[in-house]
Amino acid sequence: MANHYTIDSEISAAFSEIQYLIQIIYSTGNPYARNLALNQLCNQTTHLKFLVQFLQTERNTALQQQAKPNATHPFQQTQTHTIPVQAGVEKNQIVPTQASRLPQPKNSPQQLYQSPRLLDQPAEAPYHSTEVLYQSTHIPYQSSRGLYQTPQTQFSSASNQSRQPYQIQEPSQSAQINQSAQPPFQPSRLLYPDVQRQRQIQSPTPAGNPNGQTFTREQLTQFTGMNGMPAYVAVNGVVYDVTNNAAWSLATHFGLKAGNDLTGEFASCHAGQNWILAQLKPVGRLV
Amino acid sequence: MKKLDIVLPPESVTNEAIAQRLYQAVTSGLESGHVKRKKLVWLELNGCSGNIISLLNGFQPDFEYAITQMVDIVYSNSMMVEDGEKAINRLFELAEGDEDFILGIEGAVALKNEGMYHLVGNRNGQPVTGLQAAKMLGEKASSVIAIGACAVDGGPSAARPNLSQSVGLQTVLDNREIIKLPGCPVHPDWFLGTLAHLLLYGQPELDQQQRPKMFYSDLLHDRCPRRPYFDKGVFSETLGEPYCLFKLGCRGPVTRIDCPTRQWNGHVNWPIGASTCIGCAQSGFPDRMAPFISYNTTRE
Repeated sequence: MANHYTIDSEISAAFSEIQYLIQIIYSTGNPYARNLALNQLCNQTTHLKFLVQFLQTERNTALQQQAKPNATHPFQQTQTHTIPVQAGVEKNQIVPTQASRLPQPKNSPQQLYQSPRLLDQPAEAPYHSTEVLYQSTHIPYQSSRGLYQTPQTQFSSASNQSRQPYQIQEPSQSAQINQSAQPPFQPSRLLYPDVQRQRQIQSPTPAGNPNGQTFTREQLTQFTGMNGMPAYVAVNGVVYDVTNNAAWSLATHFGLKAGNDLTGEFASCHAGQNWILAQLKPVGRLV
Repeated sequence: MKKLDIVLPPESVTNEAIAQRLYQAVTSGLESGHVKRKKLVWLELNGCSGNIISLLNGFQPDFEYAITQMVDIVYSNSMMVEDGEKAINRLFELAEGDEDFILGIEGAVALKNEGMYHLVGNRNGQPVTGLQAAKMLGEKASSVIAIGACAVDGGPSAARPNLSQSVGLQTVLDNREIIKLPGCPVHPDWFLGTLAHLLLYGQPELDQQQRPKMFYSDLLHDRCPRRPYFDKGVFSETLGEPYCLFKLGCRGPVTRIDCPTRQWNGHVNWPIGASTCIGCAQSGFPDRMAPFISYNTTRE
């Protein structure tokens, strides 16, 4: 677990660095400084991508180890055609210097990055990347929500009659899933890197708090920043902590009070200043 | 080649040295006729006369110097000897004449009942409203300075429930460029400095809210002597403590003004010395800066 902790802190540091660089890009008029910051931003996002992959592979390792007493390979045991898609399978994406800086997992990453075999393929024919996998099965990959489950995709395997939905899940889950039961859509379980990136762009998931809390408007009104309650405000569906924000003395900001959804107010005063949001600490979502 | 407007290192940059240099520049300008003593009208509208009282506290230059050397003050209902119709006629003479003058207005403009909630005097038996005077002089003056929070955006005069429907000067002079000096009250230096700049060099550089950058560019929080405590998260629990006052309601982090370095009452002290900043020099004061002080803020 020490590894998790280190990686988490590295991810937080990378996020802070990215936010800082975005601010620099916003504020500087110097093209040289801006190019430098962009360059750094590129490096940091690559670094972040690597860290996320690393975390996921490590988690998969742990899950596979849990599943091992039952089966040598989860797909040989179950009829559910669940294909675990490893995040960012291309090994060459990993920068060696960054890898060497981080604590190494117990299992070799190379072993983990190998894609799982399809059931109708001979065991000797390995897949080297998910791209090949997707091409061979003609799965329409779409990045919008809910399209990862493609029930119409016929899978030329032994259980043709069952026509299981083609699900992207973690290996350990596949052993537990009943064939007839349709597992609920779990976005946090999706491992495809593009999807993760898409989600980050669509809605800034709390860094270091991926499974953030959800708040209703009634719940949010309790977070007034007074009498021991922290001060929370919601903007664009994300709830931010402003308890110790300098501009929110007494949990008020130019007559606005904490505990409210201030999306409209933010848009009217800080249009185009999303870097302000990037500086705040997200704590959850408004539902 | 244009002369660079910079002070080279051998010249002292203390307040006193700069004031001395400006004084010499003005004196030589007056002697050569390059600088002319302009007329100044100080019009008090819906407010508390706090800005003129603050102006009397001026120091380097002081008020006496201002009215004897810098400008010819032709109207100030608090200061002038004349009263009644004789005084009000001065305003109308200026408005009807061709003479150049600078208009300084403190206080908000009351709009209710066509301005009848604030009268500046009577002329020929008819009441003269503040609204009428502001419009009449504002369109005529060479420069208009809105002095204090009320004149800038309504301030305390326009605070809820705003019975007199008071508004800032810009609302009634919407086509005019107005130099805005928010503050409750305005520091004598902010007004006299702006006035001196107008006389010597023309209009000072203004920010997006038409405030002179030379006074309103620094965030108070960044220059605060209590700032290190904020960075360390050490917050005062009562007003007497010497630590950061953020948790008691300090509005320094949202207020742009040079109070920490300029200081008040002859440059010796300023609000943070005893209590919190209430953001009086920021737009929206006082309603949008409320509450001023609270003791039950969440601390972590």
